[in-house]
Amino acid sequence: MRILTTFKQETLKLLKKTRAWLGPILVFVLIMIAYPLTVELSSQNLSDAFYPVLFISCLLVMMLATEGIFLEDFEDGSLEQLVITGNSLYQSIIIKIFIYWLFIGIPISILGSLFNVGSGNTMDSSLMLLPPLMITTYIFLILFCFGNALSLTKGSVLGTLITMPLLLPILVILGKLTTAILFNINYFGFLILLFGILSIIIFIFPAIISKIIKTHLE
Amino acid sequence: MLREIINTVIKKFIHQFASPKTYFLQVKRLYPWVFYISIAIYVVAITWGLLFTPKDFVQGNSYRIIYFHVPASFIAQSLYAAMAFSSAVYLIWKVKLAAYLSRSIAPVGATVTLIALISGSIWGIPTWGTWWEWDARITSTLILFIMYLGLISLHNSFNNFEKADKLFSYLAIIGFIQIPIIKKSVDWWSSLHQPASITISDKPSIDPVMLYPLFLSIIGFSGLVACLVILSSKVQIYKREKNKNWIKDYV
Amino acid sequence: MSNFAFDSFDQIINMDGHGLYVWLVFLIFLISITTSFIVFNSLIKKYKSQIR
Repeated sequence: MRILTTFKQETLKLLKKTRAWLGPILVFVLIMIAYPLTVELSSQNLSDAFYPVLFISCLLVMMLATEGIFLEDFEDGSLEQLVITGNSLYQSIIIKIFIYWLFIGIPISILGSLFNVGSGNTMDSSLMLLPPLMITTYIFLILFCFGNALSLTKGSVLGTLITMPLLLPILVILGKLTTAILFNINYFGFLILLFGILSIIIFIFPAIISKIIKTHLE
Repeated sequence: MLREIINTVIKKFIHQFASPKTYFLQVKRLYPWVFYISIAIYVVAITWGLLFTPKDFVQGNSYRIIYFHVPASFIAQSLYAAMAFSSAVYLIWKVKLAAYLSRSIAPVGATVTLIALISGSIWGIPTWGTWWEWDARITSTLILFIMYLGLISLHNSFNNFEKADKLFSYLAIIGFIQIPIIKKSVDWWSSLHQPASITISDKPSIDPVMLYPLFLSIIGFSGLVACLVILSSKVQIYKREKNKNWIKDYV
Repeated sequence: MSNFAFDSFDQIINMDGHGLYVWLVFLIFLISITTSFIVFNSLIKKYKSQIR
């Protein structure tokens, strides 16, 4: 029951701040529009380098989305209240990240695979791209939340600096997955690998994040 | 029951040996020994390696960079492991000294990683014909370097040292994921970099004549790095405990 | 210990054309290690004088 109320509260909180959820999506769209402008207009060039641009812009947008994820709650004292009243910080962090994924991660994955068609790739590759995009946006969200929790009051530059190194192995897997999609090889191995990483960090990292936030509150 | 015993033993140990004061005394006694012995070993290893080993059949004389590169890259990773370990000790048993140690390892680790990167890229010029390649081992070592810098900047951005220590320890432990990735990266990704010269399980892939000075140079260099860590931890202790009474006897 | 690998001093410097790289790495190594020793020692001195 309490999970449901937290869920509702967090949804309302996110949707009230249009900047926080619509902003990152619009930035993503703008990057996707800006990309073809920088390439000379022949569709072959466009589709070649589309995937790296897509993944890196996903990463940047997730960085933007998590910029103030704990900061406002920290400053207005609602995180402290949550800890004092004995509610589970762990639970609410899991729910918070899930909601961010629901309202930012999923639209971005769908838009990304739409833009994939737009830049000259086939519809099949678009459908293949959707599940790994969904998983990776979730992974990026969790890891950037970790970084931003560490550098809570010190700005998101520091948070990004310390999170990016952790993200690079995932980018390597994505690179391999891209080649698999381009050459039509079976890519489920990489998908399962990504899913395995997600299923490990989805419950471990919120626990660490809650510890970190408690350290900040001391 | 067992857990209680272990905890009391560890607490006793911590009280006796892990206070900054005893650490200072022990270090004062040990430091000159470690310093001079490791310098002697290192000088022997380098002269042996550079002047007395025969030249490599494939790489010619440029392989002699191995006596600088392999110790540096090996110790860059081991230092991270040591840092993560002492961070874990700090978070579990609240040993202050462990926090000082892990903070003081970070700058030394960054230096050693930088040496490994530079020596590796210089070695790349005669053997691969390129000084930089986005291959697995090089990139992951660069990431390790950035990790060290990120850890240092995280610690420096907080004025409250205790908070900074805790956050530093969390990040160091999470970042430990990188170490097995670096270790295995040569086997997993297609790479220019040769597979590791020395592994525990297999027979070493290089000739024993070249191997002995390599071992010596690893031992000597780790001694030198240990000296650097000791100096750096002294800096940390002076910085953090400057208002304590005991420290006035040691200046 | 095996035999001396070079015949003359020139050969030690040159190392069949690879001498530049080897000695460059050696120099970088030497400089970075000694500077880090010097930096840490001077930092210790600085904090010691602060405590006094």
